[in-house]
Amino acid sequence: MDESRGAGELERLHPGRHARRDDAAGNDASWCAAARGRAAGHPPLIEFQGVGHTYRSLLGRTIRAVDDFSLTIGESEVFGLAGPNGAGKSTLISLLLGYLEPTDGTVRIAGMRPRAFVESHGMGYVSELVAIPPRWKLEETLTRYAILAGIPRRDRRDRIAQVTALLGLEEQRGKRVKQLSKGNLQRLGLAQALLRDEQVIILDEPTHGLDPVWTQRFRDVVEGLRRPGRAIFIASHNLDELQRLADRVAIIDRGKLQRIVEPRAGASVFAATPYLLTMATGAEHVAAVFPGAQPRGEGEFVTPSMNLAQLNAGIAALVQRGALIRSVGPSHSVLEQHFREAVRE
Amino acid sequence: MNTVTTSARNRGLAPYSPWLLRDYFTNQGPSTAIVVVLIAYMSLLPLIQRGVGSAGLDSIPLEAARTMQRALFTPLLFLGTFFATNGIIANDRKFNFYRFLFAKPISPLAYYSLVFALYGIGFMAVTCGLLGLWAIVVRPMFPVEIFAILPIMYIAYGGIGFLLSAAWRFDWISLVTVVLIANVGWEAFGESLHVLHNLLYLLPPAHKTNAIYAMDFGRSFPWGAATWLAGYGAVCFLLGLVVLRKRSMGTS
Repeated sequence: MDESRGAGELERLHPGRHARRDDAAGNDASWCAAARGRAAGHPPLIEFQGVGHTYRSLLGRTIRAVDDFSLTIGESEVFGLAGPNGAGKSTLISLLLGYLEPTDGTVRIAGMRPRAFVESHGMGYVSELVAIPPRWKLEETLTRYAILAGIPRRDRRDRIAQVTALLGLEEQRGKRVKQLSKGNLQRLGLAQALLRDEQVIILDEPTHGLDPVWTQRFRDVVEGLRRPGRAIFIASHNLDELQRLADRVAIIDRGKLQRIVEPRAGASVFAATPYLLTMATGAEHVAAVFPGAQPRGEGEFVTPSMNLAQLNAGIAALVQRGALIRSVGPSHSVLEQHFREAVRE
Repeated sequence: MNTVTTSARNRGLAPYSPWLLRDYFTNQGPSTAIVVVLIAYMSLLPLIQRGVGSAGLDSIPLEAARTMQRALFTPLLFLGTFFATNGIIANDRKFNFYRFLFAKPISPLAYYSLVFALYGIGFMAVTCGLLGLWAIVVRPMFPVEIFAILPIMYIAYGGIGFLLSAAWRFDWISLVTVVLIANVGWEAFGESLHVLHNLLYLLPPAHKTNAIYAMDFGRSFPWGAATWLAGYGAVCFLLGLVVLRKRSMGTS
């Protein structure tokens, strides 16, 4: 598969509108409550202010799904939302699309109420479960959504051809929705979201049901969607995905914002983190050099948290004892570490 | 705050109309036609068995054919409207179809108003088709009054269906229940002098439908009953739009 295809196709879809950003590397990892009010240097586009939402059943039972949620997302930002099941991610997305109204606080997109914004400008949106009438054919589906998106008749055929090619759906064009596999259905969901050059794109568990090849391909597509002025909001269980794609990630649990992480910021040399050490030989020396290291597999150990100086000193000691090290690296990502801390019981 | 791209609000609705009509003609339209044809067949069956139509059904006396045709309008008007408006909003909520639909720059109010209007047009077209079939099988009879009665009854029943569909997901059962209660209520207490009799006016004016169904084509048109029915349905339709605006799409 051509790895550059995603960006290339998108360049054709929205010429000159997107630009890759590599400026996140080299910044210190940071998170703090103050980050809630800032959009990492981007002018704000989406604002949640003290938002709460309570579901009420007919019998009067209430469930507080989101509570006192405040956040600002910048207009050129790729923003991630992570949280365990039932944390409130889907409710937040429904609030953002205007499908639910907050019971407390306000949500604004470009200063407008979400419903007013969507009805005026539209949004690129992929839901976790792609719900399209099963009798519609794939090409018919894209034509219908392209019409509703307001794409002029003269451009419609080209747009549909481009997104179909971008997402590898050419061979499925004549199939009915009910005949599509889970992966193809998910790709169709993404295709309809990319028909129009939207300013706000919301992806809810976008790689749900995709195979590893298309999961990687999807990441290329999302990278290609970056452009000045566009905000991309991704909710996912997949921390690795958010680590790679998002400029910032909000971690929520039980409806509350726990912390905001800049996952692609480099770790400080002074930051302590556990490392995964894989030994080729001399595994018997690890316990002596790194007291408290936990064996995890054959020749594999997870060290206690330590900074880079301590790690390098330990590696030197191991080499001095005649051990051969196959690999060494952080035992989990910055984001995963934050996630574990934030949602700890 | 950043300025956003030019508003595209509802720009796609007019070009989407042919697709909505296609939806009607592939889903609700055939259901209406099949059920009404079956009812017509059941009505004509005794005549066929008695040999009245041995020389062809066109030998049925004109007055008998007119009576039968008028009798068929009752189920046609109710069932046609019922099929057209059943789940008109509730199904999109229930099956989550609204999620992609209303992420596009369209207003649910404009969208469902258009669906309601186009399905009404589709229903009228199906009625024309059925009249054409009647003309071929029995004899040509095209009472012009039906084209006045049909929109009135569509608004009357459809308006109630629209309101119920906007309000909750069990619209079909509640529509049948409401119409049934209205019929029983007006039948039992329509002549009552009790003050509670006024509560009946909250229910659909089922007592007025008789005037419509019993009207003699070619004679006087029951304007009073028609106004009552259309007015009640129109109010329900407008209330449906209010509910649609107030009740978020994500509310199940």
